Amino acid sequence: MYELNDTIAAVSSPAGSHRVILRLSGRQAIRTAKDIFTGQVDFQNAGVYTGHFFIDQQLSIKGKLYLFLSPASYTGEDLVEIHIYSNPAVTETLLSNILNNEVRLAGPGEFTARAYLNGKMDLAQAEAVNEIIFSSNQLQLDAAEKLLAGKLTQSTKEIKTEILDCLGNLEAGLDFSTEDIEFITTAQAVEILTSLKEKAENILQGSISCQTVIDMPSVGAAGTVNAGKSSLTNILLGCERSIVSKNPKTTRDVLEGLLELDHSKCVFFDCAGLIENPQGIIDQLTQQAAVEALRHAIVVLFCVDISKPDWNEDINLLKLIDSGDIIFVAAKADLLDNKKLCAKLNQLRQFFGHSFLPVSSKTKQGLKELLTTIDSHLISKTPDKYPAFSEPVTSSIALTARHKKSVAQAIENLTDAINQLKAGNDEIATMMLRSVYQNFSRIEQQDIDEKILSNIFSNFCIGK
Amino acid sequence: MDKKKFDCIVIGGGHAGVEAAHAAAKMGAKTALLTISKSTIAVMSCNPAVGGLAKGQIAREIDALGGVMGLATDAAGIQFKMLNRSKGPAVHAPRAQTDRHRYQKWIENYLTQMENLTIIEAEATDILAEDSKVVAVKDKQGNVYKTPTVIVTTGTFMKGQMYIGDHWWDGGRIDEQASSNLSDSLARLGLEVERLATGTPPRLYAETINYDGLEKQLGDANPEPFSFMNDKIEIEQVPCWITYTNEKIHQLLVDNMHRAPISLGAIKGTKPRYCPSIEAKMLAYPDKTRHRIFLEPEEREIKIIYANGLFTSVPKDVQDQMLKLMPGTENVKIQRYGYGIEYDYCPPHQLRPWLETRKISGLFLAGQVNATSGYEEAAGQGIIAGINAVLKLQNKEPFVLGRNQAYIGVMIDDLLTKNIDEPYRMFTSRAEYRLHLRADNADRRLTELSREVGLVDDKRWQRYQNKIKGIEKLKTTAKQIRIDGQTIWDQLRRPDSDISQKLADIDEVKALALDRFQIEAVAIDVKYEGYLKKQDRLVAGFKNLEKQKLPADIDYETVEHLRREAKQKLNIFKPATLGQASRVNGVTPADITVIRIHLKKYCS
Repeated sequence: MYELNDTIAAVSSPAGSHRVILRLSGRQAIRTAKDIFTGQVDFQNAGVYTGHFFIDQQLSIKGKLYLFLSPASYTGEDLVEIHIYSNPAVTETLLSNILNNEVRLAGPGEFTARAYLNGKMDLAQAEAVNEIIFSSNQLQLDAAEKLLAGKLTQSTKEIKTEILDCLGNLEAGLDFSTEDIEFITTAQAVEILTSLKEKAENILQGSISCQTVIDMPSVGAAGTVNAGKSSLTNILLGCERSIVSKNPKTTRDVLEGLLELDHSKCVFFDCAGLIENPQGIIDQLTQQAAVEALRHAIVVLFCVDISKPDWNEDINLLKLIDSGDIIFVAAKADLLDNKKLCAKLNQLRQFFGHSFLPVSSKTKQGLKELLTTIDSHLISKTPDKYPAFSEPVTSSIALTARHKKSVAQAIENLTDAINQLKAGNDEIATMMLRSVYQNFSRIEQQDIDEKILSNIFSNFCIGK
Repeated sequence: MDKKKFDCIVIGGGHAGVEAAHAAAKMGAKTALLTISKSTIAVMSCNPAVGGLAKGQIAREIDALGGVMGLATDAAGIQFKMLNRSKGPAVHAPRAQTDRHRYQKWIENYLTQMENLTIIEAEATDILAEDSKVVAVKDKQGNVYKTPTVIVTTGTFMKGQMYIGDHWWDGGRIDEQASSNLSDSLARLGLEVERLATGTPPRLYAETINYDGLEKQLGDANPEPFSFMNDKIEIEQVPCWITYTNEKIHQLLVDNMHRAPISLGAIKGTKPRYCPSIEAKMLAYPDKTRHRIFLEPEEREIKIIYANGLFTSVPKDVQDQMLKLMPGTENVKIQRYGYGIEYDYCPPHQLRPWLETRKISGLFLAGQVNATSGYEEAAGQGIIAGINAVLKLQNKEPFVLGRNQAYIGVMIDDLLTKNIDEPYRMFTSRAEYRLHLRADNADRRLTELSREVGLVDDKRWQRYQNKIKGIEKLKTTAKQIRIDGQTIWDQLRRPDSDISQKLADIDEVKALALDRFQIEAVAIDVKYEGYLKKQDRLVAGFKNLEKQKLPADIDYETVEHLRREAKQKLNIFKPATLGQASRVNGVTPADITVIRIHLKKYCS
């Protein structure tokens, strides 16, 4: 089990990455940060601060301090993130510097365990985080994130409500059989349950595995800082899709999600970190990572801020993108009136030699055209993946193996309940419906089995 | 020997008091039953019936524990019916219409003849305690009875106030005085006291009812006794009749709603949702054109009819008119008008799982005073309180039934963990182990447990042993004998097989010379076998939480990371186990994890 009263610390960025994130959570997090950070920090207010961290008595290193105050943090406690660019040796020195009597190394999954215990996320979300950490391939991220968006939870909640309703009526039939009220007939109950069973079966059939996601084509949004690609990503993928947006001020580099189009699906990501003039080794590494990510993208959305006076920075950046298939997007179109917009679009075409699609995340102007464009690009690029062009893609939910098992069990129990109802054994049918309810509840927080909880949290890698 | 010194004093001679006094005396404690009048011992204040849905299961449990209720019902029953017969055996529920006078008399005689039990006609006014321990009970005349244990089973009598329309008067039951001092005494001892309300229907002179055209309801052709000690019921059964309200009556009630106490706003106590008054039904179900009313005889000779379903406290003239408009009662003479009653109770979160108050050692509460409704619920608590009062005297571990052992266990656990804001009535759906908590196996669930504490006498124990042996023999036979190529056992498991009906006619079964209950027990056991396992899995994990006891002195305010709501609720309910804590309203699984961490850290 987990201690909750002390302060924990761990490296929470992937192993081997040069961009290092060190996290501290608990009462001593802020004091510890104060001790090693040189920059000006208002420790009463959450925010990002730039300065130097003491690695040891001689060496200090430039970096950023992210300060989150309880309860508005990932864990619900005071939380500090130290972002630096360093090598493993330096990181280790810094970490050992931080660890003392009052700060200890976090156990596997302990940050998330705290978040769960402090009511910051439900079990399904915690598990989604687990998936994120575990994914050897970054692309699994979106499957997990999809879950965070609560789509599965949403579907199961609806089914659960109907189960409860039906269960209530059947129970009333058992406990109030002396009243001259017919709460529900067997035929009605059977009909309701049969349709619920179909819904559950659809969840299973419509679900996609993480492996499928890995095989999916990816589409990246690139552009300068403030080109509007983050808002665009958010609006394309639907809100509330990432840990970032759920828990304000928690940082991540690459935002990804599953984008479902009329005829195709893809993994969509927002590629930050593309910098025009990399200075020093760190910036170069960051840029390399971004370029690498874009290279794997089948289609790239190249975003520019159409309201800018010139796009010199943008055109330099475009040279870095090594992808044959680029969709040119003029973001923030809402900032200009129609006349100006036409003029600016002309300028863009002349400057870049390509036509730009004007869009606005605010007014949603041009979004539909953009989606259609992405869809047609994907179909022409990967025809083998989409043999039946005209067949619309059904809405899908990514399921973990455990979720799949829960849904499959629910279906089995529903079948049993229906058969028992037909045989007049309402008392057995109601018990099976309780099982069904529990099956679905296991996906969320309710009726949580202690074993599952321990399993999940102990499977985490350290630092999340 | 001091005539005024007892091991245990039971205050109140209702259904809880009867079982408490009987259990305590039978277990060897020198017991006194204080009642205002001997002739009101075990009076059926409300409907003249025992059992019913879920309540029938409790009645069987009381009997299995060695209580009085089942024996008295078999002796005084006038119509026996197994309810829910069309559904599975887990929800079959025995119910009996009883002759209320014979029931009362039977129990009064039974208790009068008991060893160790003294019945004292006195009104208890004060419970005396020293150092938070019970020492004595004082009555209205100033007599002081010394005792280390007291069981309060005062039902609706504590500050009872009755009402019809806007007319209010003091009383614990019609024509009986209320007890006004005792709840003050409990409050002085530090217990919280609140108000609840309930109601009764009018009682009618049977000879003035026109039964022509009324639906007649008969008892079962082959009635099943309530008590394990009886093989069969050999009486001539009397019928009940069914009539219905109609839209004219509904209009009458709606027109006079402003004169009903529920509208007058005078009632402070919360009334039950489960047997709502007919006027409350007008508000709750405005679209229903009729409500069913059972006309139930109160005695074998059918002199008085209890109009079950017509709970009301509207003014007398409205009751008169209402009955004039109802088929069968057009010219009826009313023996007693329906009335409502409001009374003091003690919110049961103040109790330990063995019904002793947390505040005062040796003080037990049972029955309606704990916010329950119904004779069976009351009696079930009575027997538990009686047993535990004696175990306390003997310095033994308390007797607590789990949710997986008995409806009584479910009830007491619910009382201790739920917000009780209306009289608590048992439903089968409250029991997560419903398939196991059946009327047919109450004896097999509880007799051995009760034998251990000394409440089951040798006669019952011998009879029980015989039943078990027969069941085991039949099970062995069922696994061996094949019919049409399949064992009896396997056929019993099949939902489509009708073998259970034919079981008694199979030669090999006949040879075992078993009674119908033994045969039925095997058929039901096998039918449910697979599902009982599923049920266990469904509630698995529950048992582990149940085993983890929580320290009594834990202050949840000091448990770090516990949500505020959970802290508050847990400090009120002070659950005895982690399992109970998990059932307290507003406590989440995450809270339970936090408590576990706290326990590991500070309490191990």
